[in-house]
Amino acid sequence: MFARKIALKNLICLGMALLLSIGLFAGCGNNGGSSDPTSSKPAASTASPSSQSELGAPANDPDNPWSHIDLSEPETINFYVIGSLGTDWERITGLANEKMQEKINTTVNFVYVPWSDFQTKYALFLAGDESVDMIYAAPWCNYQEHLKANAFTPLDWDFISTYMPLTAEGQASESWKEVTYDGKIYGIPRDDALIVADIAVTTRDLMDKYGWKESDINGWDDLNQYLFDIAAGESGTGVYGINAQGGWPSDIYWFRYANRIFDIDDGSATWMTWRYDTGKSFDVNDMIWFAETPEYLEFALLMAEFNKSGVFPADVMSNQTMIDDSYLEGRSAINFASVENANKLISEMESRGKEIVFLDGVFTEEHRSRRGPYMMYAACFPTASKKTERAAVALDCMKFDKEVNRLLLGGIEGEHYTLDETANIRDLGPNAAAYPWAGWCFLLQHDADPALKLQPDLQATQDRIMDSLVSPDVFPINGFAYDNSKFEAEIAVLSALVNEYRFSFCFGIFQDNTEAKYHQFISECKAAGLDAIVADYREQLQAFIKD
Amino acid sequence: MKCKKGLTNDVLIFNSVGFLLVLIFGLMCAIPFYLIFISSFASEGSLIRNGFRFIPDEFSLEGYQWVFRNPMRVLYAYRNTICVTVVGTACSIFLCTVTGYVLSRKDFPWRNGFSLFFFFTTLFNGGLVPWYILCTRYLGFKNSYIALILPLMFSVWNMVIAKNYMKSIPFDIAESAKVDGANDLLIYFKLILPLCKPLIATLGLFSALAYWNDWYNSMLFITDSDKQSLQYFLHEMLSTVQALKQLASAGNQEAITNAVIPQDSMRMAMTCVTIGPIIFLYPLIQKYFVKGLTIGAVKG
Amino acid sequence: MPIKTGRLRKFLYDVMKNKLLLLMLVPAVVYVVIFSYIPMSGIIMAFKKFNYTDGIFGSPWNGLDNFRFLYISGKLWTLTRNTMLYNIAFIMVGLVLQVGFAVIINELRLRRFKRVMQSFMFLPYFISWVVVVTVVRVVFGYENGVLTQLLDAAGLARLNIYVDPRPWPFLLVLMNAWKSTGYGMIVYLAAVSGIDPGMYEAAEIDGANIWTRTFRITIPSLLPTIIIMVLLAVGQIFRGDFGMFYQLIGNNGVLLEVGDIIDLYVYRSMASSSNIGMASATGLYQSVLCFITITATNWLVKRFEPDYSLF
Repeated sequence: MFARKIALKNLICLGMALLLSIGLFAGCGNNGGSSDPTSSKPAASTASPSSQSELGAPANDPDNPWSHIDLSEPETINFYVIGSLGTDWERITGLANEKMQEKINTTVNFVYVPWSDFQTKYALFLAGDESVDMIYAAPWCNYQEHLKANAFTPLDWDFISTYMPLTAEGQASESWKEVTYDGKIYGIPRDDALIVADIAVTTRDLMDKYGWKESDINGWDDLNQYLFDIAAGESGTGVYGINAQGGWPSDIYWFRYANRIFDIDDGSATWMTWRYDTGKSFDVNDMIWFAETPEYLEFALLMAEFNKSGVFPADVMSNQTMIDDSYLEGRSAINFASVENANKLISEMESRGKEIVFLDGVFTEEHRSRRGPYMMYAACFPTASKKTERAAVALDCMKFDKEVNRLLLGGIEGEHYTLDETANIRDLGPNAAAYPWAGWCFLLQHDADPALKLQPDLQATQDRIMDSLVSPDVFPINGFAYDNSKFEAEIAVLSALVNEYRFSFCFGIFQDNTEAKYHQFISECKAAGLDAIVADYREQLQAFIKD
Repeated sequence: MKCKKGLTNDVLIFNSVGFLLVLIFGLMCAIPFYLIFISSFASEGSLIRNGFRFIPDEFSLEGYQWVFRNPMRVLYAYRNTICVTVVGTACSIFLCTVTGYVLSRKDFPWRNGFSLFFFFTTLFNGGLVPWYILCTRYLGFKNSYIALILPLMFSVWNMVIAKNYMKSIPFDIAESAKVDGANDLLIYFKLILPLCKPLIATLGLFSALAYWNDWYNSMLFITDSDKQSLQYFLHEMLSTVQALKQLASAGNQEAITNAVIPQDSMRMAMTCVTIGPIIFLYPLIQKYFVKGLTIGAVKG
Repeated sequence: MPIKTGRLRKFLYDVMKNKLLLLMLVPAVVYVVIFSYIPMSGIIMAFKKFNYTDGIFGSPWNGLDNFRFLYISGKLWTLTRNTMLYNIAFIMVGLVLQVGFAVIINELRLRRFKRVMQSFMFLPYFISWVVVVTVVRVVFGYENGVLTQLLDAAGLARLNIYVDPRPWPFLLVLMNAWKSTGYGMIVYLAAVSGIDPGMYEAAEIDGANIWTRTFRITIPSLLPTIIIMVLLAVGQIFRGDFGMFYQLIGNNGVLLEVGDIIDLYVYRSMASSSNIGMASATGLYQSVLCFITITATNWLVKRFEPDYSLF
């Protein structure tokens, strides 16, 4: 039975190993038995790992792609993850482990790191804990810094094609560039590029009260006017145009979206931006530090107007209630949400007797989103771990084995989600709250995953967003990692300055003093060495693009 | 009110002024707590719509329901915290008073040297990483109750208070006992300690509070949700919102998508749940802070 | 060398004489060596460029590079001064309130009132700063706050404390006092209860009124405790209460003009990075300053009253 299965597997493994070694001796330099012409190995793109392994892709055994690896010893891998678990988490991971036990004789021990702790504990896990075999990594978790501090094991293409054959085939080829540093691969990115595209929402009753219709709002100026109307009319009632929490990034919307400004770095603290104008290609010299753009001062002044007119509450910076909650309770006239979240909001608003209104028109024709990095989440293998090979196999299984992957991503079909295979659309199942889709396993997602079923008008918005994505050819910076070793201290000082002023500008706290404060901010930054950093940044970016 | 000593004018004025001051400050402390207490019974919707009021518009038990949604975990957390607090406080009192006693002895030649030796550790600190490495790699603190008890067991602050208090006990007591042939340990246990009831009450309270409020050690060392302390369990919920806010401002929109965000009434409920048990400890020790409790015994 | 042997002999004699006392010290000494002195070796990280494979001891040295971010901003003096001044204000105000209330409560005759009020005063200690922010909004909120209602009733202009830095030094001292008086009072209550009532009786017989009794007996008896508590607080004088400042002031640029302290600045500069060396460097900077201060203060106390010093 089970024992026989294992014995049989061992026999097959032995056989395969023999065959492969014969192949190896027989033909160094050719691709052995690997001929799979449809594989999307990144041999074509220049910047990715170029050396094809002599071992080639493993023998084509569709039932067991890992048959060439010695999996006779059962192993337990500790995988540190972050996210929001549902109540069914233990059950689902238990089921996944059963499957993985069958397929690769491995048990994955998922260790959950709460959102509240990761900042303190991430470095500690890497420094002190020897039993971390695999851990999530992300730019906002200082992936670059940890990488340079030798926290993660460097891999090469040999390793990946041997121990992660499915990933080597299935992973989007442009994603490898983003995790490569100095010729080595430091992590396995997820197979899904982040697209951040929000839409503005408001409520029907407020629009009616002030005589607005969706068709009236055709741009940011209209939206601003709407907000001013609300502020004037609702003064003193506790309803505000934007009733946000103290750390809400209004600069994402009124500074970046409104002016088609793209960030160059994702998560690292240098805030270089570029203004996208249709038709123009990216040039390093057009890259500007965010606050030095003329648009930033305009934005700051506008926010000051908002503050003075009461669009923001007066004590907004100490507000702890999230804008999402305020919006649901009718205390905030507008909110921004991703298309998926907006879909969720429809029913939530209905249950409160309100009608949600989508302000598509704010994001005009010229508004663009772009494919962000695959590197938003990656799995890395700490250097202190001794089970890297097995961890890699486990990750391969979790990412690309259909059964295990779906189980971990969504739970049980029919219970947590429903799936329309042909249209590749999913919807919430009866017990969806117990296991939200991709609540914690962000790095196991794929572009090809079924998308959430959206209401028709939202679907139209989503389609429009996808159609208008800026091509990476125009803006080829994904994966660029600025090496800050020359300017560490200066960047720390800049970071302190930016964090000091940023939210004050975002909420217009300085009111009439905004312009003076803006100039003060710029001069303090320059005194801290801003110009040298920008010049260095441009140099490095130019070298990266040339590659 | 007994009037055996005549109520002279000065005493009257002093008492009245004192009464007023204490009353004002006490109310300043109690009224915000009342606000928190009553808001823990308010519905989330009413808190968002109307803010925090002294009489909420809508009552609801949502906050408590959320805190207790996994009742076994809360019970375990209570159990853990209570056990750790009791054991830890006992050990801590002993350790701090013994050390304080030795350093308070005027005839101990190296008392200043040792005082500096202990106090120095409050000035310089190697940081979290070395401490963590020491505890997990070399001391094996992972996931055990030791990890919750040991780090807080000896507090230099408490030791200094003990040393200072014991200095006020006249030295002749110890000397006369020595003449009678008692050794230092015996003196400590039989003579000095019984005179230190206010001190023990103080240290006991401080230690108990330190253990009760400790979430940091749970965060660092405990991965098993059954062994977590109460404060950590609550802290995790509270701090999650802050972490998510920071991530959202860093552009990580996904952080918000699927996360279930705790609510204001829940935060209030959490505060009440933590304060609840320990506030009953304070009145118990108050009876030790009575005039003349110790010296009377000395004279006797 | 007769002198040296003499000293050695005296040393050994002292050890033998006090052997039991020394033994009683052993548990605490072992504890402190393991949990404080061994990890203290991590201070060298302030001078190193840390990487995970080499660990603390193997990482390469980089001199004073980790300290640069502190002084190139030009703000170091302001931050240090702010941290120190706030702490001094907290210590002084705290001292007056804690000793004052301890003395008053000790003298008051209404037992139940005393007990209830003591418990009340203790409550704020349990309220985390996150929740305190909410309380502050209720009291000082611009739209519906208690203060606003009072000002409106009195016909005065409203005050928006979130865009006006001027009230904040007082507010911070007030809130710190509110939160920690109940807790800090306990030590003084314990000390006061240890004062010999016979002294009071004698003083009364001599005709002293209550003010004299308080200022001539109670306060002087409390003096050793007061000095010790102040010294303990001075030992942390360059370390700010991060929790309090971050929740109340946080990233509000207007308030940071008056309320920026070292700990807040470091938090802002390391918000998007995890440079262990730089964090260590800040800790070392604060430690050295605290060490210098407490040594000087302790020495001063020793000159006047050797018995009251900390070490």
